Amino acid sequence: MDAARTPVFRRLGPVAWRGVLALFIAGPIAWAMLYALAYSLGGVGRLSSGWTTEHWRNAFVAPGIMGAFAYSVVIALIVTTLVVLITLGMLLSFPSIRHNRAFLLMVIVLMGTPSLVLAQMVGNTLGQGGWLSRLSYHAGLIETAGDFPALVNDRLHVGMTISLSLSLLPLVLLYFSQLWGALRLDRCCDLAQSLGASRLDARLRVALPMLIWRGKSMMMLLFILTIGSYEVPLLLGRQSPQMFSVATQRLASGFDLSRKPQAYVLAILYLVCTSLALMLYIRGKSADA
Amino acid sequence: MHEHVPPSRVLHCARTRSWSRLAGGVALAIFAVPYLLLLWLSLGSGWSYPNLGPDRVDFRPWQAFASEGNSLLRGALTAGLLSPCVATFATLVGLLVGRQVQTHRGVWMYVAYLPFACSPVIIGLCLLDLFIRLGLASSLAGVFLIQSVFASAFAVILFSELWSPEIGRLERVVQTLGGSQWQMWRHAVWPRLWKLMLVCWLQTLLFSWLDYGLVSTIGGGIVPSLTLGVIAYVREASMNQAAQAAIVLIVPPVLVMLLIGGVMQGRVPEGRIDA
Amino acid sequence: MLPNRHVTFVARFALCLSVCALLLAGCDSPKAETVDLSTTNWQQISEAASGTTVRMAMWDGDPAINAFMRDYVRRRMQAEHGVTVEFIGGLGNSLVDRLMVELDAGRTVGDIDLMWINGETFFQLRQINALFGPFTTTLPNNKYIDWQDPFIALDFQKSVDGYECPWGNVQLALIYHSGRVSDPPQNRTELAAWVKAHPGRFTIDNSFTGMTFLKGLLYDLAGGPGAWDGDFDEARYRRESAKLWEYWRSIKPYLWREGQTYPESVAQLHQLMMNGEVDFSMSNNDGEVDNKAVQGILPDESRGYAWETGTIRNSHYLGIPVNAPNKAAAMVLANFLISPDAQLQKAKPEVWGDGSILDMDKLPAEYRKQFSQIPGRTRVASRESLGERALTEPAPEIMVRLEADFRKYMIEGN
Repeated sequence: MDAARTPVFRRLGPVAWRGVLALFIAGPIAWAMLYALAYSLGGVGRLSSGWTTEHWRNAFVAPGIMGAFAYSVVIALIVTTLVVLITLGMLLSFPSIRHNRAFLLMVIVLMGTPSLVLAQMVGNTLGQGGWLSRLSYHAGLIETAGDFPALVNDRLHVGMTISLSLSLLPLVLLYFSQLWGALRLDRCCDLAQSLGASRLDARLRVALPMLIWRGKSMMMLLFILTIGSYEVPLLLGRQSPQMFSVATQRLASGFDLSRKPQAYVLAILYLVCTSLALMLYIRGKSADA
Repeated sequence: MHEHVPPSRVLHCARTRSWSRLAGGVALAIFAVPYLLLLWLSLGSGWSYPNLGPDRVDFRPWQAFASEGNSLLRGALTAGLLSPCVATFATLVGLLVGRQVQTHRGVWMYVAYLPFACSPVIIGLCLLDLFIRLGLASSLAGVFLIQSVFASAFAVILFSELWSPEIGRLERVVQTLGGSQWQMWRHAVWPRLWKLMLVCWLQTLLFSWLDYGLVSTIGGGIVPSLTLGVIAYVREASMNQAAQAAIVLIVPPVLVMLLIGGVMQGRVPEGRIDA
Repeated sequence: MLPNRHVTFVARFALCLSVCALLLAGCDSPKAETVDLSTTNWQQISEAASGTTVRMAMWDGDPAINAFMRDYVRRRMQAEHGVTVEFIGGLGNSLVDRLMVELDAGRTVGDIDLMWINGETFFQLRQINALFGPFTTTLPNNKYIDWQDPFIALDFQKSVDGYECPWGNVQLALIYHSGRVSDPPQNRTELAAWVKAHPGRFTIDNSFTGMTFLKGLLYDLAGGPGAWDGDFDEARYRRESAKLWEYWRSIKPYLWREGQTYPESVAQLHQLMMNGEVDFSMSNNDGEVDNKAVQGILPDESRGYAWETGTIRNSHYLGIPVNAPNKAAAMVLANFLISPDAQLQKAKPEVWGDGSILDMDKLPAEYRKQFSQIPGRTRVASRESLGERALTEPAPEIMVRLEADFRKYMIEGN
């Protein structure tokens, strides 16, 4: 029989653990979804005048809302791609970095640094009035802070992308490092080389496809984590378009109370989008297993 | 095994190692700059352009932090009380439910992942009404409960992903040999599980300590929080106070991560973290 | 079967945690008011407040204001009235949002007793019937308030009707770096010429102060002082605001970062000025230029002024939520905050530099003298002089619409 049928846990019973999951974990999320749906349809709310699809119709023509949807997806894709590329680039170029103490220390410290503080540090360092700008001033490269390129709250999202990537990088680095060992890629590359492949060929044609194939569910997880990020886009992002969470919070607590239901339209869009991505992630994981 | 290595290759390896150390040192130094800047800024007042550090090193942010009734200090103390409770509760839920989820994947796995994948700010916003109705909004109990939902989901995932089938086999061996429940737990489960439990406890502790989205919506500013302080100071451009708050915020997580690193280092077989 | 110790242990632990959680909830949960304020006199209100805790929601982004509230207000309230004061962060929209959900959920006993509010928040709170009142006439220090002043008696064109108590009176002042700007613009035409001659050196913040600046422009475009008196007129707003956006589009390419993005708060705007990225900042509090320069947040060379076409003058207020758990103590605190002593302390530039709402003619001579001798206002003209260029706040709908339209046309329409 399977491991779950041991006496220690038998008493919990199938009802108990399912109950915990359903009531304690799924319950609040389901409530959140239903509440958001009811609010967005005018069924709830102090200023609501009854059930209506008006807020949904307005949401689809309001640039801020559909912009937030498209923008969040694009940023999540960019960050996911960037983080995976950096990780794979590092591992394929320097596989032994996995055992480097300085590297491990950096990964661990970065992992312990919350994204909120990362955003603050990126702002302090890369902002137009930040430390690099001040160094450039002292080095005679610029004359005023305004001469330093805008890297925070900027059009190209440089500061935000760096900050989001840094917050996810340790997780991905550790995952792929672990995968490298688990797949015995060192041996595979050695074998390929002993059969005549060059070192580059061995890494690009043997190690890389295996890492990508086995790491695809992790990429989906990165996408999910990025799309819901709040603190970094709040501090370093542009004012328009905005990420899902920032736009939702802004609409929910803006001057114009009549736009509050639109915040819940955005919340529903986010929850549906995340749920679908999660399904793909779990399906991918099951396939890997 | 003891193959002959030519001296030129030894020399090459030694050079590579020293270059690698140098590169590591340089990378570490660059990496440390933002952290050191944060510390430096926290020691003083003002940061006029183009000064590289604070205008005056007067320790004012730290004096304010230590003063009576400081909201950041209250935030740190509250988080210090709350996060161990959340972590303990979540670890227990994870321990009891995670194993079941491992054997009954499918929809239950999806349920467990849901909070993990959702933005706390959005969920907090949608749940505020419910928490107000339950009389739990703006209270420590409410924040404990909502953080526990998210932390427990994380713990369930962790235990379901990393549970080793070997533990089940050992349990059956102890049982077959006439061992009691306690002996089975003590000799079969605990030695195999304590590291995973510790890692789960520390991770969920960190989740609670660093939470912003849930404490800001459900806590409503009434439950003091360090993260709320950092965001408020950054948005109000109080650089020194923001830096000081950030230092208080990150020291425990960095220490915890180093501790986790120490616990896991050298004891984990490659490709498997089955504790 | 042997009892399962582990499950038992877990069950006990869970029970302990639940009890702890309930205790915590019990400790946190505010108790309902026991005094009927409609039939009690001030003496009874003071007695009911004594020994209790009052929770005030306020903007907590300024260390100087925080220090005033913590070191002066809290200590005096404890010493003189036996009331413990707690402060929590929160202002404007966040308070409205919170109270709205609380009232939706039928929560009759909330968490906040007194809150610092401004005009548009007052409007929103009245919209959702979230304010307790009228209560101002009950406060003994109400007799000193200058209710004849329209900048105090009317909040965004709405009579306060005793539902909020004025606390401070301020006027928007533009702040410029006198070392870099010798001849600051005095109206929109001069501003347009200045920004075109100095690209990237001017911007506004994307929040309350920036919108208040835009309201000043809207006044100018609509014909000057008095142009926006009365209730909101949709057609008029559309007409005049179209001119405003046209004007803003004409100067937008010459703003900081080409007007593609704006500082999120006035504090960030101050920082830009301090960093030398822009030459102008602004403040909704005319006394702030001295206060911030003393603190080193603005350059020493900063100077404040009002445009010849005028800037908005308004008051900030104290409101009591309809579900405040301790209204008696909230009233005692409000009464203290409008006392001559607290107003005098608050008006000192090194403390806060906030304008008083008291009528000097009604004050005892000793206070009048002290108010007249407040030192330190060196970087901005006197309040009386600024008052000659004061514009009243237009109807609150204008603020709501301006905020939405600024985002729609100037930020999202980039």
